[in-house]
Amino acid sequence: MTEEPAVVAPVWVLDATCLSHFARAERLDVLRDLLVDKECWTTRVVLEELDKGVAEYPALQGVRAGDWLKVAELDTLDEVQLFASWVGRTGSGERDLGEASVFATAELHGATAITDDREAVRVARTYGLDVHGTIWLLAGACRDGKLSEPAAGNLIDALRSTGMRLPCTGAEFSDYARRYGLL
Amino acid sequence: MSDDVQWADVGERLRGARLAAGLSQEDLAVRVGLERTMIAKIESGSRRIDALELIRIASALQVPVDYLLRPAPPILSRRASLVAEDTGTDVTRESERLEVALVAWLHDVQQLIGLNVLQPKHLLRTETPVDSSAAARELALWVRGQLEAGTEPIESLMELCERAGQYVLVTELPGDGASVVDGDVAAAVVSIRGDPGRRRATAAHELGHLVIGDEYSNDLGVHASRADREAVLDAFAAEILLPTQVLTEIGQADGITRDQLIELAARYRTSWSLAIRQADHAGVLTGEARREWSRSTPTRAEFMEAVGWVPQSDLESIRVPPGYAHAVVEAWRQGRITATRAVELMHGQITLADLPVGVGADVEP
Repeated sequence: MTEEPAVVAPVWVLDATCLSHFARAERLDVLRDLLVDKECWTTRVVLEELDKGVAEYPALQGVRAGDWLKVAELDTLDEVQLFASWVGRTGSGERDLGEASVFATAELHGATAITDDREAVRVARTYGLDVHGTIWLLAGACRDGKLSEPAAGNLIDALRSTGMRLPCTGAEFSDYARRYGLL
Repeated sequence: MSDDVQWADVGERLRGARLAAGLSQEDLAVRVGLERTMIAKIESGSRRIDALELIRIASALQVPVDYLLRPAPPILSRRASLVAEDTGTDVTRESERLEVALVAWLHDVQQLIGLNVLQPKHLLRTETPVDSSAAARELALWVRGQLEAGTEPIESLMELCERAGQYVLVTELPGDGASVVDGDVAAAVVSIRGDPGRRRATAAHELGHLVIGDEYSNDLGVHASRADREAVLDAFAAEILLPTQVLTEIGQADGITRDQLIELAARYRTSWSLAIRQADHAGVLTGEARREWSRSTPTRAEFMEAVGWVPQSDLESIRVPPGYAHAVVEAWRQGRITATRAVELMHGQITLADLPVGVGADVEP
């Protein structure tokens, strides 16, 4: 008899860009459901960044309230040093610090990082990190049958209406995703 | 090295940066939202900090986040151990703030070297002891010769220092300047305050420290005990900026006129007082002229008239050396650093909008 190999859920680390706009579009539950088969992480630095926006966007409290996200503390010397070296690549503005913490966590876990800052994506990939944006995430959900293309389009429009910068509109989604071989 | 020992190093760095910022443990605790006893524990190495605490502490102390995590250059860590909490006079505090700025800049240079976009230059140094102003002047001419500057005006002192292996940053500082050598990398900071002539003199001064073999120096003003050393470096700087030979050649027959000296000060971009000192040293100035001209600094229009109103920008809008600036842009093009980080590394010389468009325009989703 052979033993079934243990199924290890892929680990994803989510940045503030993705979490905050899903929260503000009141679709955090949708995001959670789409990622149900993933081990999802964010970082203490990202949560702090979101906290600062709560006064303006109370919906951001939903991110901390959810128990589906594990929170990386980055508190061993190696982890803190890895974080600092990512800061040396991303910069030290508030958003940059959040991204640096996400990239450090992704590197530590061999995980996929999710962020919609294209400049940060470009740099993180140079260092060999697997990093993608929300459109890639939604296209993956469509491929897995968790989401229809029109539903993904609606979600994109809802996210864009909160000011999220995404590379395509809801109507353009199917074409855009096919152009990059995501669908 | 065990984990504890390393946290103790972080604690020591934190303590130094805290004293430089003029904060007590209590002050820092309030600013970062921790108990004072926690700060004490962090400083003794018995409590860790996480990434978020590191951000808050670095921000309160106005240092880059990696500052607290990296060892100081050996020469500076030897000095730091001599600084005690209760000797925090203004002078020691300013000296430490200067040191913090210097080390942060050194880290920037080292980052680019680590990314392989900046090749450290061979450091231009002399083995010969330099113990008199005469020897310093000779050394300055040797440096000019090595860097193929002859006796011509030095257009960019930043560039000259860079060719000598010293990377100069012009920035906000408590003193005039400071310099350090860490392994094969030499870095210097020069205060943005004061006029360009003063900045050039400070940069030349810091170059002197490198060439005569000082591993570390800060120039917060002349201390009595260091007056002789400073006089040697002043002579070096003066000769780098405006070689005596230039004045001798012009003034050998009948001495030099005020207009001629104004033109030299403008072309060589020195302060008026330095030009007078050099003319005096060259023996082309009567005692009367020296006294009279010292009292009447030429106006800006007089200087500009002397050089045909050509704008002179060195150490005015320029903050970082040219080779360094190129390395920053290269690191950004190669995707090693983000545009935001590139702007940080440029220290105010450029903004985001100045970076070329099109890089990274097509990032896959």
